[in-house]
Amino acid sequence: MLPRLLAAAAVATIVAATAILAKAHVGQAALEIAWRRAQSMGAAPAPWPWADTRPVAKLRAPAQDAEMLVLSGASGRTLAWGPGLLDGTARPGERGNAVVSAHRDTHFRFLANASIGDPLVVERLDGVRVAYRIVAMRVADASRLAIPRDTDLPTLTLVTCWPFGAIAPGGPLRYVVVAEADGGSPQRLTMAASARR
Amino acid sequence: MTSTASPPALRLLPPKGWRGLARLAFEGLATGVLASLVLALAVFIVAVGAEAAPLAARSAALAAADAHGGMLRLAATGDEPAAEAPRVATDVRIDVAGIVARTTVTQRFVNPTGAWREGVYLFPLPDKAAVDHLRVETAGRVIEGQVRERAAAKRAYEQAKSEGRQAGLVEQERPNLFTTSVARLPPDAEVVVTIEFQETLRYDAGTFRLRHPLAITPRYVPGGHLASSEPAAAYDRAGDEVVTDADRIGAPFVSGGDRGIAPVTLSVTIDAGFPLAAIESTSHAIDVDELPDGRARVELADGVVPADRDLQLSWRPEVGAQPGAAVFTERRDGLTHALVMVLPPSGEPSGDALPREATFIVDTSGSMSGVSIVQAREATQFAIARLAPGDRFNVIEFNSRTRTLFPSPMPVDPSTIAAAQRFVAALRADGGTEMAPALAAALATPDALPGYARQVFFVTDGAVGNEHELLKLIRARLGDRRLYTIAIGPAPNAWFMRKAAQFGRGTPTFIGDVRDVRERMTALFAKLERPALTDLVVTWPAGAEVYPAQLPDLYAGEPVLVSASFAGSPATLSIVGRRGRSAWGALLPTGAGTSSEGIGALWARERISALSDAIVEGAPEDEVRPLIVATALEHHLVSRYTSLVAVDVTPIEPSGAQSLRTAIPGLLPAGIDPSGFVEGLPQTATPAPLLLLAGLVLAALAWAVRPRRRGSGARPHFRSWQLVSGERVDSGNGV
Repeated sequence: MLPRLLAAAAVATIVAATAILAKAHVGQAALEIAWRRAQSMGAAPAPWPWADTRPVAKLRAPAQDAEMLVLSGASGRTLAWGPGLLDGTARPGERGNAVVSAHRDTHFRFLANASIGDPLVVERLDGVRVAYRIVAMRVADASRLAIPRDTDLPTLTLVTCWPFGAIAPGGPLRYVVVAEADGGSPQRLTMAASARR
Repeated sequence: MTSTASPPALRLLPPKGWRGLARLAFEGLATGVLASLVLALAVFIVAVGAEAAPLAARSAALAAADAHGGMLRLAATGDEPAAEAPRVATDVRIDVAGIVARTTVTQRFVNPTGAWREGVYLFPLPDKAAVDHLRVETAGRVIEGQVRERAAAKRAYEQAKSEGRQAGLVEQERPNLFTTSVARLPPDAEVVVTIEFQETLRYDAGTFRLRHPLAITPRYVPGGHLASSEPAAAYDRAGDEVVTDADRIGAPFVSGGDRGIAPVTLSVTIDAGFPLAAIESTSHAIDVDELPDGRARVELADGVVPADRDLQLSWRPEVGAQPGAAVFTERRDGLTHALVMVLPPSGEPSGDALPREATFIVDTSGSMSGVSIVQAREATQFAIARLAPGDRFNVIEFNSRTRTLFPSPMPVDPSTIAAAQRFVAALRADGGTEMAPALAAALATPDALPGYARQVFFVTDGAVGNEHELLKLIRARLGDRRLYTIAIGPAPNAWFMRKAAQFGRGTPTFIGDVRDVRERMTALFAKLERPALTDLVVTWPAGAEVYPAQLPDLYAGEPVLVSASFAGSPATLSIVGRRGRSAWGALLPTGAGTSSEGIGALWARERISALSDAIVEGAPEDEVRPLIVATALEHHLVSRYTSLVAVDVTPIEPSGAQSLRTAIPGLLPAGIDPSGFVEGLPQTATPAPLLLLAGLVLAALAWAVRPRRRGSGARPHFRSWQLVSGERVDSGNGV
């Protein structure tokens, strides 16, 4: 009896763990379809009929060879599928701070290898592409973390849990990576993007 | 060593059957306990190890200092370590007008080294306080802080830096910590820093509370504030110098100034607007003098005290059984700035309250799934249960679609309540967030029967992208209703929840945890059931600019504040409102002779906040920006477009003699509004690694205790352990 129970528990927990990781990957694939359709239509549909979120941008980290679709909102349910753009923060590429949060052990695992000066590229639904460069990284306790909403330059702030590779979730520490738009003016970026199209 | 052809189990037992069985059971249990302990230990070690090792390395570079009572850090130069400049004396002057406290702190430091040093001045601000003046004096030179438009401030800083002069951008990155660099302090010189700031006091159960930081125990914290525009290299340098390092800061200079007994003198003048029932300090012995004009002056009974604990002061205005109102004014250049403060009556609220028409809007979108929907259900059920006979109510649920319980608000009776409780209990979170139709439905109910207080309760996590549109909708359709937001879940969109309540003339309530539901909802309802005053209107002189334009209601426990600016100086202002079913009014003498500093700045802050809201509501930023800048410059306020820069006008040395090391042109002050910061960061680690580890350990355990067929001979070692039940055998099964 005991061995069976143990075996069943083992299978259940491993399946649960795998499901979390699989969701993170499969979700991105499903989102990719919604993203392509959205780009051709110009407005993002919900990726699946009951979804409470939609893709708002594509984030690329060329140096870490990572690419992912960013969703609107950062509820736990959204973060299972992809990084979330926090409600009430700026739109990527516009003046102000766009804050994106994701899990350290799935989508934002690549941040463990990011360093200052690395480029980050955000592609918006309207085709505008904004190039950022990482200017600061730090570890902070979530309760003491003050992330400004207003910034002079278009700013992208990526937040994930710290430390990477820890086993237990729910720690108080956050890893914050701040990137600023290359070349300053978002207008110029917009123009450059429309010229490309 | 076992018997041969016998059925399993019992026959396998050694001769002394029962004792052996008990022993086997005991050993099995012990192994289990041991295994789980080892598992727990492994998880702990892995987690802590991973957390501790890189963090220790990083925190040295990444930590930020947090100071109490103000300190001046001398930056490290060449071979000299960083140090704390001894503080020689502190003088604190606080002027209170109603709910506004203006504080002037003058601190004297010395540079005890025989070298030119550079310092970083740190001052902890009370929450919500904003610095508007800064002045550094040393060896006859004066560095004056000036509020300028951001770009101009940055230019002034850069120019001063390139010319080798002193310059410092005042930074307020974390809401409660203020830093500025004061470069190039002469050897053995005395440095006098004067800082002025303003704050709005806490009012709690009839008592105003003031807390001033005096103790100077430095605290060391991992991590800290976030600045987004600092170049990385400057960051690291800042880390080296601003970071506290107990070993290096301590010894050499402490004896010189003996920071334990750095003396403090202090005086507080209180113009409460009402007679004072009591002034008390839980931290210091105080002397209270009543001044002829009705104000009170508080001084420390001991005169000069050591700076070893914070000053805590509280006073209770005597309001009486009716609500009370007072006006404070500040006159400048022919303009009068006025603050009207209305206080709820002392003691238990009384008077008959109006019956209510309550509409509950419950967000059941996908983002509410999990604990959030549980909280939402509990909060709503609790609120419904508190409705009284005579009230009317309705419940609206929304996700991708909007669903309404009753076609129109229904009177409270056992059957409607039961139907509502069933409706709420069955709510599940799934689907999108189409908030606008639900709000429109709640705000579109036909006109209430006269004599009802109409209240909308909005239960949501605010996870929406179209906040501006929703706020506009609330403003346009609110009518005579009040909208109360009830923020659910661990990471609600706090900014939206606050703004929605403000636009809805109600208050936000934050419920972070299921356990808080009862307490928070009880507090909210206790308040709402007995408003002290509603429909408040102040009669201002023509042309007055008033914030907020529409007054909220007065509830027990919190004052109503309204600021205005107008030409001329009328002798009285009148205020009217409704108290339950009867009218209430008062004539307020403006005290033509007196002037309270800080009232103008308070008005200016309200104006800037209202202008920022106008941008939210869609006013073009290009038109609003000059208004904000002009207001901020006139009243010396830091805003989203202006910052405080401290520049020395006298060059002290030929340029390039020494670079400014700690004065980082970092992120400009984000402003004084706590909503300038992002709130509610989500949890960002999945349980996957933990689950995986647990799964593997469970699998290993299952393997270890798996039933074996007799005679298989596969693992004699194991079998012998099971059968012999004698000596402890190391199973080696890889826990």
